[in-house]
Amino acid sequence: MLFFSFFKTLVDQEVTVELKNDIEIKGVLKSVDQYLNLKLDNISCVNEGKYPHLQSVKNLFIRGSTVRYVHMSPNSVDCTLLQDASRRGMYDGEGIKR
Amino acid sequence: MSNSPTQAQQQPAAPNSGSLDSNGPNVEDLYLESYTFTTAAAIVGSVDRKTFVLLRDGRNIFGILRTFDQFANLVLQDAIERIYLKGEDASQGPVKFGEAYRGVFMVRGENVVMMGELDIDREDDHLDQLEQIPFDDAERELKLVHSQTIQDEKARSKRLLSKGLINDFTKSDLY
Amino acid sequence: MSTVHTEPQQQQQEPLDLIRYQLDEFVLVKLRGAREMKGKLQGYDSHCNMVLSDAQEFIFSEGEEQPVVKKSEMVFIRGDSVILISPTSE
Repeated sequence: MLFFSFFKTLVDQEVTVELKNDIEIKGVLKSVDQYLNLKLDNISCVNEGKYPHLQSVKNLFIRGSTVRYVHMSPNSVDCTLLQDASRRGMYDGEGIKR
Repeated sequence: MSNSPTQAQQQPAAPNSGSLDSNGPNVEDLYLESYTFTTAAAIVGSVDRKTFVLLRDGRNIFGILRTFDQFANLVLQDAIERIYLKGEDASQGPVKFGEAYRGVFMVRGENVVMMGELDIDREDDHLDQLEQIPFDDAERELKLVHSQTIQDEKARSKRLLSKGLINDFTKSDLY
Repeated sequence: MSTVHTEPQQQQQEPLDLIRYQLDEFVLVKLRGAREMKGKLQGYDSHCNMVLSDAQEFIFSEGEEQPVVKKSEMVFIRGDSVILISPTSE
């Protein structure tokens, strides 16, 4: 559950999601669930011309299993908290508390 | 029905210890907070809206989302399947498309790559620059493209493996 | 019956415990899709999901060309792409 909690702390921040098929989508993270499915608002496709049908898509629900990377601003991450949570996480199954 | 309280409660509760510590248990708050971060909550806003769904086999479905569940199983009404085809230069976007009416369309959640609400004022804008061809022709051409992709990727996997690298390709994933 | 064999610090170790010592250190992560990522390990879980900072991604090609390098200041990597994690120098 650590990264579920982690993504909850990123809600309302801008992130770039890279899928396993190489599409990169930039948007504001609006929601996340236990499977790390992501919901983005105000999306724009980094390779706009290649996927023209995404131009009229307002928000996007992305299935977690198709995600390769999520890039984010370093300012939105509390590294100390994340490291501590990872150290503890292996034992008590609890992550960062929101 | 899909967003009924019982279903939402089946989801493991989100870690909401924050509110537990400070305010003491307020059942309603706990319920609302744990519901916010569920699959259901992410999709519920798109119900009865025109929605775009990309499936793992590469299909693009456009239709009105009528219902769903916590696995992102979906039911679309008046669904249209649209095939986009690239031109000579495969690094560029599509140049033509074909579409077919699919009516009521149910999708099993595991096959969804992504889905999004469409802006109905702009959803057809991008089609202006594309040439429409009969769906059957598009389907035939797509089949060729897919079998070529599978062949290419298999060869690529082999070459990469000889360099100690592992490709990420399964032939059921053509999105 | 209740003899204590081990000290609390010497609990049985599992593979991921070794990764714990790499927190805040540079690691090299080998990934599916002919990729590698080098970066400072900021977090991980039992699925090998992880967050790296100051990361460099290397995308290898089939030929002899040099890998394409992409930089990212902070990146989450989904665990199902991960093949191995190894300590590395910067």
